[in-house]
Amino acid sequence: MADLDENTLRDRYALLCQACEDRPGGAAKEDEVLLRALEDLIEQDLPALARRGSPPMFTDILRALRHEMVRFREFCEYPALSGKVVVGLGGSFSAGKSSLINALVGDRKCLVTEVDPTTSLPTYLVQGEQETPDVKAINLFNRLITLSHSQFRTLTHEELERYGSQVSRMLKSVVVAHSGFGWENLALLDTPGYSKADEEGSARTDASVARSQLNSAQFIIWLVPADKGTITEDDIAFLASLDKQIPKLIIISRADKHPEEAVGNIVSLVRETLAQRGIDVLDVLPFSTRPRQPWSITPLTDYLTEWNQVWRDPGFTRQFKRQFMAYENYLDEARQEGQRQLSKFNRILTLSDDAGTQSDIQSLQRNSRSNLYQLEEVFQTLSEIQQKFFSLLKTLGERLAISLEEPDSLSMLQYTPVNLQSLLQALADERGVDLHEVDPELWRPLTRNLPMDNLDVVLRRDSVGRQQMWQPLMAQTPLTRLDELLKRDSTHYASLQALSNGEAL
Amino acid sequence: MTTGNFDALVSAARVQLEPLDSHFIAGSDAALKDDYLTLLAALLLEKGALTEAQLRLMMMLIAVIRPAFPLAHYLQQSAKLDSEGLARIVRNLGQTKQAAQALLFDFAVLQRITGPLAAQQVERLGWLAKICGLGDKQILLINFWSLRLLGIKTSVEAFSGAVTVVKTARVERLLSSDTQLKEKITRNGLPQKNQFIEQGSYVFKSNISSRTVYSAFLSYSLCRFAIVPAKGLVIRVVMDASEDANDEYGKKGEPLFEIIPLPAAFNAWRSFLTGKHHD
Repeated sequence: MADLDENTLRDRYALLCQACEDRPGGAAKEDEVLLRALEDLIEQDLPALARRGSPPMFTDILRALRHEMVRFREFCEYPALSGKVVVGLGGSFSAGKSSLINALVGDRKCLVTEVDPTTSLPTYLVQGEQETPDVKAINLFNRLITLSHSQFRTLTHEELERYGSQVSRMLKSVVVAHSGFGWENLALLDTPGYSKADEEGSARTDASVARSQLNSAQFIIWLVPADKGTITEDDIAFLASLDKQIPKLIIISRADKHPEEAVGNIVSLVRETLAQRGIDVLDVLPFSTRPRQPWSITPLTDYLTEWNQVWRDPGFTRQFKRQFMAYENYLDEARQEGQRQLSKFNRILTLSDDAGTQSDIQSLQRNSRSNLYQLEEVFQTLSEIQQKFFSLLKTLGERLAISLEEPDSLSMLQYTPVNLQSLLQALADERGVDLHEVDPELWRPLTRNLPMDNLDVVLRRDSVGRQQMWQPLMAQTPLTRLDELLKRDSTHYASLQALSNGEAL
Repeated sequence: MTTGNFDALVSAARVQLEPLDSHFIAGSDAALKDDYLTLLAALLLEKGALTEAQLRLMMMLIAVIRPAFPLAHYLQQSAKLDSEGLARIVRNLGQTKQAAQALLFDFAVLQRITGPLAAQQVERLGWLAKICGLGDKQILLINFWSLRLLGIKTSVEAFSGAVTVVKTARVERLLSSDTQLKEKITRNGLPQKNQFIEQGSYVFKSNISSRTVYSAFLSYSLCRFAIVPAKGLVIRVVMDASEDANDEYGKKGEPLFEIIPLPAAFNAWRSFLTGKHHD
């Protein structure tokens, strides 16, 4: 550790204190009560309920709820970030990411460029309102802390050697709000440059950090420096290791260092190489920071503007609902099976004359009824927990100015086509029914393309208003008795008349 | 609240506020209702998702079937339907008279509201009808009443196979105070075409005034007794005025009028189909 002066030490201590802060501050204090109540439902009420009846995958449900709760806490702490479309910016070390960010924000002194590019802390650039860029970070306790520019600049790989502590390991992410960044719904995620594509899953190397960060983005911009004449094998290997579902845009950086024709050839070569290697990309665009170059930034900003329109649902309510639905579904199936059993017992009872058999069936019936009753109780409690959970979530949503309404179960369903054809054919074979004998002509009337005059009435969406009934109220007739009705006509009370005329009583 | 929001709220509320009549299957046990709705969902989801109109109609049906679970449950369960489950459902439906007819009617209506039926849908209806043992007349009734429900104009002639002829059981000249008229539904003249008639034991008094002074003085009427086997829509009046005046008409069981019966299986739409839904 280098010798540090007193001011540096004080600043460092202040930063450490912030990084360790786990108490909510400001408005978050009020949210904290609601968040704790939500967590209690997940951590206390649901496991207690599970002891009375739970699906085999209850641990998965609980894990998913916990995971979503952590994400939701982050969101509550800094909703401005969670609601944005993340565009990951990746490439090899010195691929020109800083220059690109500068060009996008129109500020050569953009704070991000001052950060050691080898930092492994996810750094998001978002639109800011203040003249001076504002730096915030979320610590491991999901608390939002504010960093000074100088503090932010210390969060590099050399932090430990230089200061004897590693605050960056206690932070989850940093958000830089810059007024020059023109896309309000985007968050540009600056990732560390990798040296070469490492083994998948290896921990905390720049490449694995970059990969995991880029895979969390909705779009990826990948920078290929024009200096090398084409895309390198390392870049190809890295791109191939990224999520194929994420749309990728390739930018040929430092295009100004090469003649126009050569850049054109590089673009074509990169395009062909990527196509040959089976890597789908949206486009390959050359880019130069130098003025009067043919490689303008506009095609890239057009893409950003398009992505800026993509609405991103944070998806909390749906994720939570999905887990509750999984639990409910298990209970529903168990209840349905219970009802089926009861129905079977009833049928057997009606057919059986033997008193002994009847007694046995009645005993099984009682047992079945008791199980069903218990399931009904569990279901009821689950409904109450769910209702409470979404009510709390809605209240938090109102405070955060976003809609966190409980989604309708029907909107959550993923329909799976049912293969009835083979099932019915098999059933017909089993019953000795010849389906070839079916006469489609019997159904012909339903195949005719004729208007359905009653459809709206049947579906209760015909016009309910009988306009002519209200016609008198719609007429422009003077209201002759309005003053009388509102008691503002001349009063009959002599004393009040006198007062109104200014006479002494 | 914006006007659009309010309209959407009203539209959603109307599904609950203007319920259908009690569904035929509503009185069955929970297990049969589950089977009914699971198969209906499977039939509807054979080609994928439900349309908004289908979803709305399903919500209306669910409200009057009153099953143990919400619609989402049945839509999910339908995806898990296997041969064993289908065999059990069909067996259970077969044990309740008209349950299969009710199911096919609901399915036909739910499919037709999205447009004319495609060959695959017709095939599915035909197969299921065959497996459930539905006869041609029952199928024609599904067709007729689903078209009528949706207001699709069609010729009655195409449904001759679904017609029930109401015939004279006996003919007599009786005093209006005659005990034979007790506990009978007495009507002056026959019902009109396109009129609904309830099931029951009827006496249709002739509209033609009595031919003898004696009969007229004593208030004798020419009475034709008939059984209307089911509630239905009168589609043709067979007996004409001269036959009505003839004392002999009906003595050999001559027809009075024809109806297309409204099966109990279509009960959910009973008041709508009989024009009483605004009462």
